[in-house]
Amino acid sequence: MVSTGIEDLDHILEDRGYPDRSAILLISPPGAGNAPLAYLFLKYGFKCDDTVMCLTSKPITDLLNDMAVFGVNKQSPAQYIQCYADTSPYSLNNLTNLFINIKKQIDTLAADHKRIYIDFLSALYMLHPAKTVYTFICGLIQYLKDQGATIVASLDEGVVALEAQRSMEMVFDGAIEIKIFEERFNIIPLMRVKKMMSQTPSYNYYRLAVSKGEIHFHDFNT
Amino acid sequence: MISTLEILLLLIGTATVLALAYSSFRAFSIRRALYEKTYRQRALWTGAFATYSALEIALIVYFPHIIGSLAINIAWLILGSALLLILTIWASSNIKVVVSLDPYHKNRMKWLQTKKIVWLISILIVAMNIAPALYLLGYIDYAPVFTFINTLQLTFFVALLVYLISVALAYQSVIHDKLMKAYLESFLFLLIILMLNIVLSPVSSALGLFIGPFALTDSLLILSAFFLYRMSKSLVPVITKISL
Repeated sequence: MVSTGIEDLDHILEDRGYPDRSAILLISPPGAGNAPLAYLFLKYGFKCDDTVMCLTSKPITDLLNDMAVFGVNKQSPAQYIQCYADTSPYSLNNLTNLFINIKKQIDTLAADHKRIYIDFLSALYMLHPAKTVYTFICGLIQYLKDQGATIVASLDEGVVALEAQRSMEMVFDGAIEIKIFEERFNIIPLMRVKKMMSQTPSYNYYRLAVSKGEIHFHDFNT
Repeated sequence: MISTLEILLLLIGTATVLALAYSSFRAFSIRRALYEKTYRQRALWTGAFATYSALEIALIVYFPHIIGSLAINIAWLILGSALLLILTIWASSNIKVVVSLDPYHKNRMKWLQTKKIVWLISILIVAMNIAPALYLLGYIDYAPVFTFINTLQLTFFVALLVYLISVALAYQSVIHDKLMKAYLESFLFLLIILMLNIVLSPVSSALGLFIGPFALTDSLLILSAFFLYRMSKSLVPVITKISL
């Protein structure tokens, strides 16, 4: 078991965390809160002296500033790899090169527990056909798990076609979904664990509250 | 005696104000439900612009008889200045969102550099609005400088809108999100309507194109309410039913 870094979420999950060496998909509408779940997962990794790596399509300074809101020290030892649609070795345009270069980077890391965050899934779907992305992600996830990593990846709802989103959910061992729920004049963010390897599906929704660098989940009854 | 036409205009005006008030409320509610700063700001300024439009239309619809009085003219100048600032911040928040979604991370249309100039000129024009205010208060006499200020203001506003439309169109090609596309389309149409309103208003007044107290170009504001409503609906995908 690998702690999610969020006490409430650890309690919601049967095994008190994500399964070891698993890949978890965080799905939410853009800006609705999938990234903070990943930041707190990484923050806990720093606390446990795990090896931490971020594969991001954001500028790294922006990522560090976002993470700092959740108490992640900008000086924390982590590998940050910026993946743009450019001509760098980690270009999202060339998936073969990207895989080879990530592999090289992973080989340099210590063999103990690894926590990896991937946030370029939505960008990949903008650049490549769904089938190509599917094949690439299947290979990458399997390789990272074989190397002892627990992976969280974020995906923006709406940016990706629904069929592609469903196929990604199949590839990952777990899927946590955030939805914006509108009831009359009330608009609230909800979270549910849609799928989790070796755990009984519960389908319960929880009210999501992000404040002061912390995330809390409360029972939600319609 | 109130004519049927005036009752009809009052009803249309009230519906427009309600639609704008709802758009504003929805945008602010969505802001509270979001986490990421860029998206929260976009929702905030969508709500702010809808609030501004609701206030402006409410003033035209419910207080037409006081238009022309000194206090209202001063209020109108303040609102006009606020419009320019709100529009600049709102456009900037929109562009920040689309820039963050661009996997190429290109500075399309040199927006990052240009926005500083846009800001500077916006603030300058807002500061210039103090001259008409001083004239209205009787501190200074009418001078040809007002014609210059008005022309500059109009030229800048139209240029700003044309530029924002170009930036939005440039980013439109890299955005795959249907909801985001719908938002951007509404944004573009809204900007075009504002531009038409500003360009046509003096012509409309000169030709005396009025229905009761309303200038003919005010009808364009009803269309702007529709686009703002559409934008408040396109901020983020929502669910209205809980399903397994």
